[in-house]
Amino acid sequence: MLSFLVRRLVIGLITLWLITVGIFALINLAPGGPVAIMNMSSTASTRHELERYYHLNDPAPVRYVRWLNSALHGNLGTSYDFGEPVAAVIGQRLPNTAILAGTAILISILFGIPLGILAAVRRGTWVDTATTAGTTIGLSTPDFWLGTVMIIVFAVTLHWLPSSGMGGAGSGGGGLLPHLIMPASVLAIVLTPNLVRFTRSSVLGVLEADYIRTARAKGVRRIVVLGKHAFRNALIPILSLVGLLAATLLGGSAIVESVFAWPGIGRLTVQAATDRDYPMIMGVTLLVAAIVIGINLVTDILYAYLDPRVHYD
Amino acid sequence: MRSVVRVSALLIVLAMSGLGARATLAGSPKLSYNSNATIYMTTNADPTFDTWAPTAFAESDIINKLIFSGVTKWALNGAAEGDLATHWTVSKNKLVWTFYLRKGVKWQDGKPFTSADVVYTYQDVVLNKSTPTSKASVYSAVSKVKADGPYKVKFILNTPFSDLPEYLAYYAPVLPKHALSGSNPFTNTHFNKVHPIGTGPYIMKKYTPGESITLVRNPHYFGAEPKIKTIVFKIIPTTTTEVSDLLSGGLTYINLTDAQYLPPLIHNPNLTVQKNADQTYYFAMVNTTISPFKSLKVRKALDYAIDKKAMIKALLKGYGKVATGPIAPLQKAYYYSKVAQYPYDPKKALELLKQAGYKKVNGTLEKNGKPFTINFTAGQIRFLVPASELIQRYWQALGIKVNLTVLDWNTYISTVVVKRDYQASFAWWSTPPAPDMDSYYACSAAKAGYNLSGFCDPTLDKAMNKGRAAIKLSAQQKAYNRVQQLLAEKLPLLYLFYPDSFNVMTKKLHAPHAGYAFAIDDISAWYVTP
Repeated sequence: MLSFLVRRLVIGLITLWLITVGIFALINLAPGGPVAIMNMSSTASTRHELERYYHLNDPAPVRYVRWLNSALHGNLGTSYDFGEPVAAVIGQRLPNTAILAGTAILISILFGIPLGILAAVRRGTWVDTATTAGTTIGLSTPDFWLGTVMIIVFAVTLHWLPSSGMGGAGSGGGGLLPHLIMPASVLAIVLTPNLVRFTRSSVLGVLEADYIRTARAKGVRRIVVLGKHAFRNALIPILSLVGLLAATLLGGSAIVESVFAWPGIGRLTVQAATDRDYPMIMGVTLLVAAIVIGINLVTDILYAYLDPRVHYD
Repeated sequence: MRSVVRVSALLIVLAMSGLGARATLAGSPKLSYNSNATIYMTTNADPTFDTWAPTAFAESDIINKLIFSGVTKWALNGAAEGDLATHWTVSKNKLVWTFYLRKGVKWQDGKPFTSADVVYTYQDVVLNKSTPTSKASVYSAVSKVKADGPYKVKFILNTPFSDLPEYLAYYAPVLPKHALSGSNPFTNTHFNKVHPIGTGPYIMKKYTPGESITLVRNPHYFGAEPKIKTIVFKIIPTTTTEVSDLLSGGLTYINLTDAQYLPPLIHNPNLTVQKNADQTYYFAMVNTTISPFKSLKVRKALDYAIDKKAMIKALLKGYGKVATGPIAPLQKAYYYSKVAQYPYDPKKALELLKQAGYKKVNGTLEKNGKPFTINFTAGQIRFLVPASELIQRYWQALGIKVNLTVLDWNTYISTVVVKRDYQASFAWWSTPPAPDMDSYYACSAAKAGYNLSGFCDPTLDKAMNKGRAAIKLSAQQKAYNRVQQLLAEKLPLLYLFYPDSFNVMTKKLHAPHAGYAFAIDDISAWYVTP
């Protein structure tokens, strides 16, 4: 197990490094430049001065090595947009995204897995058909549309819920929970169908396995067969999907965060890309890549605990 | 004991209803306002409290107008009036402006304000090449700023610039020398994000990144005391969210530049909608340095082919006026409409193109056997893409082949503005409410400045210089009437429309009926009724 962990960590680090090279290259190949330079109110002379100020006149490899050296010393640079250290800005936003993503995943798990199991157990009945229809609707609903409709219904018309922000003392108060309900629900509605469908097919696959038939033939009660034999085995692939969804969500949902003015990583990423905030793009990419690699590693480790057949050498 | 409880309960009710904090409005004895009021406004991104920093844009400008003061500020009609300066004079050769500063003004940390702060702001930051700021380009006429005693400051110019007082009000806050000197003002995180120090009517109390900025009344403000105690700016990136937040009661005031969002607001009984003219003009531009756009006939034909009124109806819901030049009707003293105009007339357009050597073959305009083709570049921001599509359709209707390329805004700036690598496009300018337009139309700005179409005409340069040197209003009016005539005749840009903008607020909030930035400069007049 230890040698597996070390190997995976080394591969993870190499992947991270390759990603930084790729992103740095892409940033430099993309047209445009930092928003301070690329705006209508700058003239040629201020543009030249700003290029010098940001050291953009140095060759790209030189800038990359400088960035890498700085990053290895724990400094991700200063954001062009915020004028603050990149790590500090990410540090402000990451907990906000974690709250939103965590809640959305929790809601998805609470609804998605039981619904998936139900649809699998009641395969071919109206329950299964209704679930499939529901997931199709959920999958084909765009999140920006759903967010806007929810705002119109619950904030504008009914005045039940606030429509923007996180409810901090400065922004009108009201606390986190009421502000969290709508954005988390939208994300959950978009996520849950994936989980329902995946759970359904995973459980169905297990239900058809020989050992389930054997258990049933031995006269084990249906509920025990489902809970003890079927679900535990079906859970393993579901776990990897949840891991994948978590990794995606922690990268921030740009659309939902924008619609609900949620100050998270997704909004930050979009702004960084739009404004060509190079240090921030590098920082955010590094973070998201590290999260994906980290969650994959954790999922693999959990696999070994959940499935005795899985061994890592 | 019972009476104590009763009195306390009554006080709590009074406090909650805001009655305990009522004050009477000067000049209108019947009106009272809530002096403890909090209002909620918006900005679209995280601000930088040093407006001069290269990445401080519209998201910071309004907030900073409240925290800081300028040498001058805007009156409600857009004219420049004293802010930190009480008055000013100009030398006979029009190259030295002396500004007389207020005495007794204190920074929000208690330190005294002097001419050294103005000199620091302009000489050490704005004009300093090692602290590059995109806002510096409008001060290219200023060569030096120096103090003449603690309460007098001289702006020494390299060329006359009669609109200097207006430009000193154009999002141009004076910075505290004692707090910033010796550091790079643009990377001073403590000042720019945590603890800005101004002399303005409000103090920055709390900034929650990504979420909000809370400003509280500055009790030591040198001007009239603001009636609103707290202003919270929520950071909301999209107009849709802004509008829905206003409708759901999460906001008190928004400034709206896109009329498409008006319908749900205009009929809402809880909201007041103010319509304002803006010093903004939208235009189609062609690269006048290349053929066939060097030809005035071609430019006029392209102008006649565009139905400006239909564009106003489609894009602005009718809230706008056909443009005749770069000075919008908002500038009542300078706007001059007796200039050449190009109302929608496709027949005239075709006639002009025929005069320019084009003929129609199978519905396509050709010259020397080659079809008339225009590559049109559109930027993805505001309504630029649908507007560009409309222009494409108008020009195609003449028989011109128009290829439309849409670029993201950053790439658009890089391609069209920086490299000038375009044939035709659609954009806008928002300028201070002052007639000076040298940086937009002078030959010197043709390759590197704001003169995007590359137009150069010595007659126009001469006329604009006359305007810059005219100090008296009548002389300025005369000079700029001529400039407007020349621009309409020579068409460096094809002027399309002036949009209206809207201030939308809850019924309880009373703000002056004026453009957003002008109203902000008069924040002491804002109040909330109980």
